[in-house]
Amino acid sequence: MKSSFRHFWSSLGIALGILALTQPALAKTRAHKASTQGPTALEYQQRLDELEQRQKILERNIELKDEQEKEKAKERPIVKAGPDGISISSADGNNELRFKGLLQLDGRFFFERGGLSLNNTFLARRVRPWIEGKFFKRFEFRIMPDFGNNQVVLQDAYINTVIFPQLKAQFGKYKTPFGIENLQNEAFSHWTERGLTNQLVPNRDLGVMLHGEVLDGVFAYQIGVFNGVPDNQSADLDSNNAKDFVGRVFAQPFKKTSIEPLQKLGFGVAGTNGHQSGNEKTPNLASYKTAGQNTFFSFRNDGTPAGTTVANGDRWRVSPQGYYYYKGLGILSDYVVSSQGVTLGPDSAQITNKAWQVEASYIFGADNGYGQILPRKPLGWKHGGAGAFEVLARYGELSVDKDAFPIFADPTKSAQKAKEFGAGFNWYINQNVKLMVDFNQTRFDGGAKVGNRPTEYVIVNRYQLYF
Amino acid sequence: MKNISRFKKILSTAVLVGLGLSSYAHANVTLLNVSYDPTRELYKEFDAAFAKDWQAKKGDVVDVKQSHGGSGKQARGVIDGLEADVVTLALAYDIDAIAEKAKLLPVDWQKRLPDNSSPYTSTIVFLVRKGNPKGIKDWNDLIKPGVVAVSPNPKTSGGARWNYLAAWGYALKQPGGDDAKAKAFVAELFKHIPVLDTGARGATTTFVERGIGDVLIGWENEAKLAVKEFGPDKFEIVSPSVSILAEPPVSIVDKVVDKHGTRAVAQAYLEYLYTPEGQEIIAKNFYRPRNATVAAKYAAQFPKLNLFTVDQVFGGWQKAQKTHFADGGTFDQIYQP
Repeated sequence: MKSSFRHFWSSLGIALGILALTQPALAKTRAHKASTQGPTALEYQQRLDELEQRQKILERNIELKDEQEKEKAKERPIVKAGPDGISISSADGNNELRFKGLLQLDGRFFFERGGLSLNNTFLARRVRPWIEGKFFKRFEFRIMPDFGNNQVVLQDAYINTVIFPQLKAQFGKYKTPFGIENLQNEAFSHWTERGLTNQLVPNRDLGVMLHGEVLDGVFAYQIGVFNGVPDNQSADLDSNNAKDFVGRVFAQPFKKTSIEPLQKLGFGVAGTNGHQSGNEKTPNLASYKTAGQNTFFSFRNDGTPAGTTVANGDRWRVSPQGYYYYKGLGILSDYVVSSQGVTLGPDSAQITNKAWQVEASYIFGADNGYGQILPRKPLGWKHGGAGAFEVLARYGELSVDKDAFPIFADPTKSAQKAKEFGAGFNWYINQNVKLMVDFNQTRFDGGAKVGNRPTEYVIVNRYQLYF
Repeated sequence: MKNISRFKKILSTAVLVGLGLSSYAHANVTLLNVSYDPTRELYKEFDAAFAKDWQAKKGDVVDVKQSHGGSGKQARGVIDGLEADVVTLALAYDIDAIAEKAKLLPVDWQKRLPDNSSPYTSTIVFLVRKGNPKGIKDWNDLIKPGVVAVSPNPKTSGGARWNYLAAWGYALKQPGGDDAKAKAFVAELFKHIPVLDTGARGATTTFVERGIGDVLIGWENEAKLAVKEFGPDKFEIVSPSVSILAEPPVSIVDKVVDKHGTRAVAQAYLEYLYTPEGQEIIAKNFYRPRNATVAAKYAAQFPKLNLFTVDQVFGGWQKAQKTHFADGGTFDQIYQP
């Protein structure tokens, strides 16, 4: 038993001794093994989790950055350049500047030269770069000079305050809200020169008006006070203290209905009323021109008090007016009466002149309208578009009050009546460019020493760029 | 017979006309409630209840439109022209900004409704993944190595500003705590926040659905909603030892309601938040109600926490905003993206 115990203890001691001696080596071996075998599965999992987290964080941050970029983009100014011109607007649309332009380059040629004061000529009829826009959403403006016709004129300069969409207040220089053809944007006019009724219509004037549209344009109104300008004239200053009151209402009753053929039927009436006076230096009276821009009627004016007819009394005008457009067809018509008290020396009279006209046109390749014509297929070599083509005709008459002759106007120089027939052809190459050719024949009653003033035949060609 | 037939015609016409007129007699009113990010569910339920109540009382049909986003961002939207009839934002400063910058409501707007115009409160807690693998129990656990936290951006989110101030307040309340130590603590905390969403709901999405981070620092109501929707088997809520009493305020936007002609209904809408019915909806959506009875009913849902207010620790929102969140403030100093 004793030897067995001794053997046991000695064996245990040897074993422990060997274990003690070999332990560092074993530990070293395990470490070596671990280093050669790499991380454990758990460590791998942790590393994978970390990588996954980093990837998710990266992806989320990229998403957030994209969102931030989109948000920032909403705040950036918006710059647009295209067929409608160049514009810069704030991200919220409350502030905007638009750069616009109109270039009308004409060739005007007369068939017969008898009694004409103007030459056959090429001319820059309208050269209008302008800027318009709005600030703080409600304050709209336009500044439009004109370098055409061999002169520099400030055509428009106004501020339009939008109180409500239905109520706006406009102050400055702009078109008097009266004549339907005159109120049509010059760039959208179907004719190179407006018809005879426009001779009785006041053009641009300074004043203040309240205006607006009700029911999305079904009804429109303008009412204002202006310096007052003679027929077919513009002015920057008033030549007397009196003012003209102007009002116009216009309805498109079917605009918002589903009756398509009647949606572009519009009609209305406009009127002006004032009391105007003049003197030999500024008679404050109108003269009337043909489509060829030759003057066929004017009051007597030799620059002296005794020989110059001047405005002196009430001036009023009234004009029922309307248009109708459906698909390619377009008809525009108006009737204008313009009356002005005049004086020459001891004589006075109320001279009432009248004019009417009907215009008709048909467009192939675009819908007809009072506004801009947009060809369905603009001219393009690749896509085979040819633009839109329009044929048009008109007839109008202007009658001067018989009481104007012979005291206030010279019947040997001024015609009593003009009758205009016109025909034309327009090619809308695209929404910006169009070619126009108009032929106008104007016949007269009186206006010559013997018989009638010679009939005027004129062809006006126009190459127009608008943006 | 002829007379009877005519009578029938007249009667039927009168009925039709009457029906037509009666439909016009009751107006349809639309309100826009511009709110902060996590209140979608609350106001969805509340709007329906209010509309029902208003129609029963007044006969008018009310349609409340909601707009949600980061509180600061929403306030800027209103300042820039978003026509909110009422604002229900995350913090008073954002409504102050509308009053001061856009002058759409009086500067003393907060005095117009009870409890400083805050019909409910909330606080900031932690949402962790089930089992709390990182052992997060308090604010100081958030800055331990390897812990990734999620919070929205204090520049855009009202909730994030509450988070920030809660952390700051915690650090201040530690032994020897002062502003310098609090600043260092919060700076370290934001080093553990690799993603800054613009709003609280976005941060919740980042944590809950995208699986980013170990802990979401956020609204108590948002955390409870996440647990309710995704299940207690996925997430659990940890309440820190100290947090902040968040008092989201509400107000009508005077100039807008006067323009829209909605002042009466907008006022009633906000007042309905204080009614027992409104408070019940508030509690059901995990916001702490003001009404004592309703609060008692839902007491088990809202553990008692050691809460401090912005006024107590930071001297009010105006001062807190200027010191911490204005351009060049403490947050800009400590946080470098």
